[in-house]
Amino acid sequence: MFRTCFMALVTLAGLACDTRGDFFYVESEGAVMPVVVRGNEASGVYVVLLHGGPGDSAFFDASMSAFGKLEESWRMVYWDQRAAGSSLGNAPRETNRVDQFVTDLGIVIQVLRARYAVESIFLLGHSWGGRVGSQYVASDRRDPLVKGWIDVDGLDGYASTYGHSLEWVRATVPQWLAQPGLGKERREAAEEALAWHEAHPALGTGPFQEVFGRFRTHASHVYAMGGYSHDDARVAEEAGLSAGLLLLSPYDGFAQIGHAMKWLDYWDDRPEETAALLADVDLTAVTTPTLLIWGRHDGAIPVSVGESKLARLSALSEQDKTLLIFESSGHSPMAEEGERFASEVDAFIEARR
Amino acid sequence: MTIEPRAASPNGRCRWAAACVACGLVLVGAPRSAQALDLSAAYYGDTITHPGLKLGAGVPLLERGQHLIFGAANLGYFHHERNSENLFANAEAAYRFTFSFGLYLDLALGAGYMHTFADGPIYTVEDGAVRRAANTGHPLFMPSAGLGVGYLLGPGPKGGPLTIYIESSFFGQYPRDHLFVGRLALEVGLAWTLPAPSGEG
Repeated sequence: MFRTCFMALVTLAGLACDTRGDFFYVESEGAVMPVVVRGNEASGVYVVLLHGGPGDSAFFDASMSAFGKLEESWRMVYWDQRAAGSSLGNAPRETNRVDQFVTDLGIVIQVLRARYAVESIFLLGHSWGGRVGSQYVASDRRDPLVKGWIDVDGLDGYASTYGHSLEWVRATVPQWLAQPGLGKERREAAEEALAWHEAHPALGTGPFQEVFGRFRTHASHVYAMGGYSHDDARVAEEAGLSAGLLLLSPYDGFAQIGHAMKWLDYWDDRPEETAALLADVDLTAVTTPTLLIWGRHDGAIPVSVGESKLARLSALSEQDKTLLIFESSGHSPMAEEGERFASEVDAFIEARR
Repeated sequence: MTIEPRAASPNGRCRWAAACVACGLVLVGAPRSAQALDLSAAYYGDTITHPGLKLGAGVPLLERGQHLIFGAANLGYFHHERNSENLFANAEAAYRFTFSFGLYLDLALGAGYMHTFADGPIYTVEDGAVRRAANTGHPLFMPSAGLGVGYLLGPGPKGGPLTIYIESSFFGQYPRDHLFVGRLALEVGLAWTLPAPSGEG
């Protein structure tokens, strides 16, 4: 009787859980990374989402309506990277390097090609995922079926990104402080941010945890000053943590929080990796058609980063590289202007599939 | 490029059966106390809704009036659809305060071993070919802390008291990517105390 009741509970939980699409894991260098594939299989077009972070989750992003809209046209691939989101295992510390993330992406693509009738592949990277995707299309490991690259408010070198974001801080804080009726708490936050950035005019070098710890502190100031969203309510509605996602989906909120909050703890202090992450990706040889999508109000990775990337895509013709500015968005245009986002991505893929 | 045919996820029912057998072995092999032996069976929900089962056996270590300190050994399993299947065995030390009207409060600290399996097929690339990888799972250290409340329902089989209880627990998984990942679980179950043999205790 007890066993019958228990099995009924397991079955009910399984039925209630979001099990749309196909599901499997990809193993690479000690990491066991979950992949969900869902959407329009008949299209033959696979769009691999490269989530932000390091440490975030594609399963979390998948709940946004913009990606649901894209699933109507294309096969979306939601992959949680190593030491991120719901990925399992205990990957050796030395495998946490951006080059390994690029290798993992190549393995995910190989598995997709082996499992499905793939006609073309597009990569869509957000924030940290922009860095992984840029490095992939700039490498000689690019799969020939990758027909396009969509970089959404994507990270460049940490050093230059910090410089661009610092300019945003310098421009934004005085505007904040000039606001009539600015509350004491927000005034203090702005003054603290300004003082901290005056003391850190560059990201600098040093041990890995120190350098990227500084970046994290910087990012927290930018977040406090609204640099991640243009419309907080809209972002909360589209990209907030829902009970359904936490309780009845493959998403593992506890693991993701750990991965995202503590990523500095599980990356080794290796000077070569610090240097690699600080440096911009060499985009001059990229031949993959590229769509850059940027939120006008992104303070973390400002529009000027996108403009810099566009200028460096020198091997691409004007028709094959575009920078689109989303005027009502911060760091996540897919959350703040989801309909336009899906429409622009649809058009880019349709023209190049 | 080679690939095995698509297959269903690793057989969860086999692991479920193995968990049941293992739990049974622990119960049979649990230390018998002259005082009493508590047997418990509970729904175990990681994040409440990832369903599982926990079976336990407890023995009193020290009792003074309404205060009781006891030890327990548990075996459990929970399933997170399209995420993981998890087996665990742990030992707990607990303090219980029993009110005169049959309600009791428990505070438990424990440590144990968890083995987590991927809940789906795993693919990897070897020598340029895609292959199915073995799902051998990952070992984890599992510390835990719980706060529970129970109530005496009445006499159970053979006259031993039968109680219903609910416990909220925090447990950890280490190492997951060298991190300690903290989790919450909810446990709802029944506990039955074996009556002490006559002439003893």
